[in-house]
Amino acid sequence: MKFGYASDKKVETEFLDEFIQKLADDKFQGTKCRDCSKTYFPPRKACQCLSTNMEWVDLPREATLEGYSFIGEMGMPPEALENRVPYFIAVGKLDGTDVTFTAHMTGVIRPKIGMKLKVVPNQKLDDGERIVYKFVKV
Amino acid sequence: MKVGVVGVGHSKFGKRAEATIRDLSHEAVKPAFEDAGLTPKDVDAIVFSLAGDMFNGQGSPAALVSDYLGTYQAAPIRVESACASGAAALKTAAAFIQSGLHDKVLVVATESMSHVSTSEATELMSRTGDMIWEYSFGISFPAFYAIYASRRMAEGLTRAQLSAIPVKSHEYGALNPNAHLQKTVGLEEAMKSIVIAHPLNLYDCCPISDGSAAAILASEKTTKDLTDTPVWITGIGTSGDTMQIADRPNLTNLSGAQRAAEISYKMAGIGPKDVDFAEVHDCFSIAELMAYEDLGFCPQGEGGKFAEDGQMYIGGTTPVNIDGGLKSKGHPVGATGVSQCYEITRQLRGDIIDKHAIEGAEIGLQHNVGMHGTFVNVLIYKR
Repeated sequence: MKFGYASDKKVETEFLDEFIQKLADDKFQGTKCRDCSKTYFPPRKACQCLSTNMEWVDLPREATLEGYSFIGEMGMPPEALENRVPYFIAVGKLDGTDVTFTAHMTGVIRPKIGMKLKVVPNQKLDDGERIVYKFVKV
Repeated sequence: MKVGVVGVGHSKFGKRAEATIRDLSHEAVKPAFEDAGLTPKDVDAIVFSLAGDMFNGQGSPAALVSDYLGTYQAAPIRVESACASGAAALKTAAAFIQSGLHDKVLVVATESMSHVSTSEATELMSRTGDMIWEYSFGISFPAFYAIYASRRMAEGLTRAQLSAIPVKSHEYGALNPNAHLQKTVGLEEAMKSIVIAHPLNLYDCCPISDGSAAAILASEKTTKDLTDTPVWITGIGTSGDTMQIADRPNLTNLSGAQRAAEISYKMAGIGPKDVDFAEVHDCFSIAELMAYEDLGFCPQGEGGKFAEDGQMYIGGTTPVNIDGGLKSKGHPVGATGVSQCYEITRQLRGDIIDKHAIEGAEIGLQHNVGMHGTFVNVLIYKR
């Protein structure tokens, strides 16, 4: 299984495969540095303090919308996403954390900054060949 | 030791299907040498800026261009900071001179982008987003800046305020013979054009252009020997920000630009009120609006009012992008930072005598941003 709506073989690694398996098992996890306690999502193998002493941790699935864009039928998506329009791109912040990340958002027509979102970690695409996480309206 | 700008040159920006990176570079470098009264044999080093390897298959484009310009003996160094590459090249050249390593340095900045389709160009640009975690969701370059705009609109920015910026850019760009889009646009048309990445529409986005700009920098002594109208680089401030837009502490401003401006102002010993005009990185209208605030031309949160009141026109608080900016002049990404230097140098020397002229200008500021605020260079020039 591949990650994302579009991907490039050059960035596929065992670490990404491990993460993909977690998503497929409906686990929503990031990594946390055991040395400085910083938590990352998307996950990282090394912390910005350069420690590799990392562990997988469960993350909350409730989020708040911080910013977004909408790529419509007349919009200009990157070539690799042309067959996916229209779509919302959103930046959300996980409740009770300072973890923010980018993903597609569905189930909304007129989004409002500050609205509540839920994270769906195991969104399978293309008959199960691809997997992504996404935000959906609560 | 001070660093002077002794010569500048600029190609026509636009869709230049007939020109390769060789031709574009030649078009900018020849007038720069003529302007400085120097020949290719006179420069000690070359710093070359080209951001997008993926747009043309040429490996080591710096070598190709350096050979074509007859400057191959001064082995070139290529600098890359995405769309901020041009100013990064100027900074590198200035550092070579200030260290005493070199005396005269040629900066060449070139990009050729329009020979691929718009969707392919959008694809290639979006690959500068994190390939696993942002590119894979189809976040385009306009979408990065649309995320900032969505946040600002939720906080009160209006459509008319944002569209006032491209209206101004096109008004001035129509007067610039080097500009890609030499035409004016009315506010209503700018507000109602097709949506590229909501809430940004066509007039919020710069075009995809080809072009080149060149500058020759020199030591204080050589500058004084070469010219009676020197322009000095008095401040260089650089800062960066996170790779992923989601990791920014806020989505309202570019904190890297705020830090870079603070460093540059401190080095130059001036403040925002001393700036007579600015060249800012308006790849998108929202980017110019954030720049008004990040550079201190108006208070935080008041960029919309600044634009609506026309404070960025000649005669306003701080004239911004009097050459048409990236929006009208065009944005061959690697060339933009040196194109800004070209405009500032000519304004400060009094070379511009038409409706573009900012009379009595003594201090100009350059703000060159890479990606969505990931690299920022702020340079200050004084005549």
